[in-house]
Amino acid sequence: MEWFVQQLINGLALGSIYALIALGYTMVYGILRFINFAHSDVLMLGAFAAYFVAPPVTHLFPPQSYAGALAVLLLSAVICAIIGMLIEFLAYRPLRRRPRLTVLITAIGVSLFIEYTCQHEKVFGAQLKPFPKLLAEQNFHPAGLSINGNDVVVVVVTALLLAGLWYLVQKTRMGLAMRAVSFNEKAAALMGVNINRVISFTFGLGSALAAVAGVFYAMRAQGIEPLMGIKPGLYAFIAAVLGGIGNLPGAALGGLALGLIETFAGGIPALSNYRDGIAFAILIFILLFKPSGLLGKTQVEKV
Amino acid sequence: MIRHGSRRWLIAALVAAFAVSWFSTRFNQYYLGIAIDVGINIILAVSLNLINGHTGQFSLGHAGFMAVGGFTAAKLTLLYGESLYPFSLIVGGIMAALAGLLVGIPSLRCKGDYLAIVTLGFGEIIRVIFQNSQFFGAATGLTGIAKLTTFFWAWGIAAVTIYVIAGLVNSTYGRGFLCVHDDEVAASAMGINPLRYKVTAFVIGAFFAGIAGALYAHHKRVLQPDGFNFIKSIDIVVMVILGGMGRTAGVVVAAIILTLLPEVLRSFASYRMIIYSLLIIGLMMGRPQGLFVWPIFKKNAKN
Amino acid sequence: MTSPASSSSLLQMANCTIRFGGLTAVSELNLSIGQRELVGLIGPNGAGKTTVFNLITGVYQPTSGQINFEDKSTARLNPHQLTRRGIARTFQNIRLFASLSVFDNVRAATQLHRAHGIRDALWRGRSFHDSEKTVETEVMELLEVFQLGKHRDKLAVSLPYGDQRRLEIVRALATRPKLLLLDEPAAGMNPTEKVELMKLIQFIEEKYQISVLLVEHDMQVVMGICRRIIVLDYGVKIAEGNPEEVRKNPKVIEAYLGEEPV
Repeated sequence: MEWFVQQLINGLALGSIYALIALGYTMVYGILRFINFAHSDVLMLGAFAAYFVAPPVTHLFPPQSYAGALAVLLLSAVICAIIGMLIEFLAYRPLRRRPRLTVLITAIGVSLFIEYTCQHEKVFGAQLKPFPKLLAEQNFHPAGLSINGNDVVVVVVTALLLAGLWYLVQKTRMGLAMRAVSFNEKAAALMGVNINRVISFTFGLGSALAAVAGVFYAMRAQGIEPLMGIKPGLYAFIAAVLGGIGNLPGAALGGLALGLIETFAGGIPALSNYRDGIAFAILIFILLFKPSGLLGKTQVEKV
Repeated sequence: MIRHGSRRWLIAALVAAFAVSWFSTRFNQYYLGIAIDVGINIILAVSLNLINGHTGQFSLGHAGFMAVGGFTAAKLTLLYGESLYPFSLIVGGIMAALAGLLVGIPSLRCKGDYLAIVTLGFGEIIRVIFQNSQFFGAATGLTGIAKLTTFFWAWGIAAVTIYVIAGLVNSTYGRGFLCVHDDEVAASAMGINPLRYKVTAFVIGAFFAGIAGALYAHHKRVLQPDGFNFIKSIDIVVMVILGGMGRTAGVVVAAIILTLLPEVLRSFASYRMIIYSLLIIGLMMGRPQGLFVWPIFKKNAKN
Repeated sequence: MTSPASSSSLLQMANCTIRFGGLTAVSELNLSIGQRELVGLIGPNGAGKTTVFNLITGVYQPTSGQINFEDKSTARLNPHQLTRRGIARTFQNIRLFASLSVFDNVRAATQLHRAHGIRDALWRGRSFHDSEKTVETEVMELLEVFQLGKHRDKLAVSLPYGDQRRLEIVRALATRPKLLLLDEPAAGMNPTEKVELMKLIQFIEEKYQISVLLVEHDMQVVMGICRRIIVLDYGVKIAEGNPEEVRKNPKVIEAYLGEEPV
C-alpha cells in the first residue's frame, strides 16, 4: 500500500511533466498538422535557461525559496517562448504551404541542429551538468508514507497551468482564434483571424509549457545535458498520440497515463528494464483498438 | 526505367561487384570500408522507399528490422561458424520479414502520424528486447563477429535489392503499390486489396533491411542495440526523402551522398553534424521534392 | 409503378437500412437492377444516393437488409472483392491515382484479372512479358475507344476536367464489370459535355453489354437516357418507374422537381 501510494505520487509528478510537454506537441499539431520534433529540444533549452538564470536570481530572492523558484520558472518560460516563436518564424513559416512531410523532416533537421549545436564544446558541451537546487528537498510523512515535496509542487503547478490553459483556450479571444485556425485555417483567415499571430502564439505557449516541464524534469534528474530532452520528448509524443493528437484533454490524460505506467512498470524489478518497451506496447495495443487515440475523433473518409 | 533486359542489368551489376571485390585487397582499406557502408545504406534506403515512398506508409521503424537481421545473422555465425555466412544473411532477412509482417498488421488500421508512431514504437520495442536478452549479449551486444562482408556482398545485394524493388513496382502488379499510395478507396474500387499490398510492402522492405543488418554486423564486427535507435531510422528516412519519395534512382544517389557526406566533413570534425543538420533544413527549403527530381518528372506533391 | 423490366436480375437490394448513429441514411430500400439495364437513381441533395452506392460496393455494410449480386449475398465482402465479382464504380469527387499516368491508371485496374503476381514480376520470364504485352494492348484499346490514347503518358490529374471524368469511367471499365455505378458523372459539366456524356453512357451499355446504375443530380441527363428511374428522398424510395411516370408523380414533384420544373 505504502509502495503503491508513493509510486502513485511519483507517477503523477512524472506524468504531469509529460502532460505539459505533450500539450505543446498536440497544440502545434492541432493547428499545423505536423509533429514538431524540435519540441523536445525546447524542453532541454528550458532546463539550460534555468541553469543560467538561477544563480543571478539568488541575488534577488533568498536561495531555495518558492519566490525564487517561480522567478526562474517564469524567466525560462519566457526565454523558451521566444525561442519557440523564433523556430517557427525561421524554419516552419517559409514552409507553411508545403507538404507536411517536408515540414516534418525540417523539424527533424531543426531538432538535430539544436542538439548538435548545444553539444558543441563552445556552447554547452556534451557532459552532464549538475542542476541547481531550486527548492529544498523536503519530505512529508503523512501516515508513515514518505512523499517528496517537489513532486507535490510539480503536480500542483501542472494542475494550475492546465486550468489556465483551459481558460485561455475556451474563454479568451486568442483561444477562440486558436480553435478556429485548428478547425479550418482558410475559413479563419477569411473571418479576419491573423493566422501568423495565432500560430506564433501557439508556438510560444507550447514552448513556455515545455520550458516549465524541462525545469521540473531537470529537478528530478541527475543533471542536464543537450540530449536530455529526447527521452521525455518521445514519451510526451507517445502521450499526445495516445490521447488523440490535436486534442488538449487527451494530451493531459495521455501524459498522466504514461507517467503512471512508467513509474509502476519501473517499480517492478522484473519489468523495469523493459520500461521503454512497455510504454510503446501499450500505445500500440490501444491504437489497434482506437486508431485515433483515446479521445481523438475517428476521421471517417467521405467516399 | 527498368523494363526489358532488366535481368541482364542485374547480372552485369553482380559481375561488376564481384570484379571490384576480387581486387579489393589492393585498395585503401579505409575507403573500401566506406564503400561497403554505402552499399549497405543503399539497401536500407531502397527497401524503405518501397514502404514509405511507393506505398506511402510512413514508417519510422526501419532500424528495428535491421537490428533483427543483424543480431540473428551475427549469432548464427558466432555459434556455428563462418561458413554459414550466406545462409545467415538469408535467415536474418527472413526473421526481419517476420517482424515486418507483425508491424504491417497495425498498418491495416493506423494511418499517417499514427502509423509513424506505431512503427517507431515497434522499432524501439525490438531494441529494448535485444537490450535485455542475455542470448544477444544484453546492452553490450555482440562482439567478435567475423569480418565477412566484402564489397561483393554489399554491392551485389544492393543490386539485387534495386532489381527486386524497381522490378516489382514496374509491373502491372506493382502499380498496385502506387495506387495504394495515391488513394486507398479508389484502389479497392479497382479490385486492389490495399491491406495486402501494405503488408507485402512491409514484409519485403523488412526482409532487405534485415539482410542489410546482417551485412552491417559482419562489416562492423560489433553490434550494440543502442545503434539501432530511432535516430538510425530517421537517417534512412532522410535518405529516402532527399532522393525523392518513390524514386529508386534518386534514393540510391541520396544514400551514396549522405553516407559520404560525414566522411567529407570529417576535417570539420566538431562542426560536421551541425553542418549535416543545416543541410537537411536547407534542402527541405530549397528542394523538398528530393534532390534529383526535376520538374518534368515532378510528382504531384499533395500529401 | 412498374416492376423491373428485364427478366433476370443482376443486383437485388432487399429492405436495406443503414444508420449512422441516430441518422437513418437509407431506410428499407428495395431496388433491383436487371441484366443490361440502365437505371437512374435521383433525389435531392442528401437523399442518400451515394450511400446506396457505398452499400452496393461494400464500403458500408447495411445495418439490416440483404444485398445480392448475381443471386449471391454480398454481406461482409470488401470493396475489392466486390470489384472482382463484377461491380465497378466512379466517384462523385474524381479519385484518379494522382501520381500515375493515364495509361497506368487504367493498367492498375486490369491486375485483378491476371494470374501474374509478385513472382512473375521478379522473375520476368517470357510469360510475364507476354502478359504485360496483352495488358498494354488491352489498355490501349480501351483508351483509344474513349479518345484518350493520345494522352497515355500524361499524368492523369493533368487532364482537363471532362477527360478526367471519362478516364475514371474507362478505369472502371478496365475491371470488366457486369454492373457499372456512375456517381454524378455530369457534375460540373457544361451542356455540350452533358450531351456527349449521355451518348457515352449509352455507347458503353451497348458496346460492353453491361448494366449501369446512374446517380445523377442533373434531370436532363437521367431523363434522357434511363428507361427506369428510382427516386430517393430522405433515404426512402418515393417513386419508381419510367421517366414519364416519375415526371408526373406528385411526390416527386413535391420533393424534387418542385424546385426546378422540367
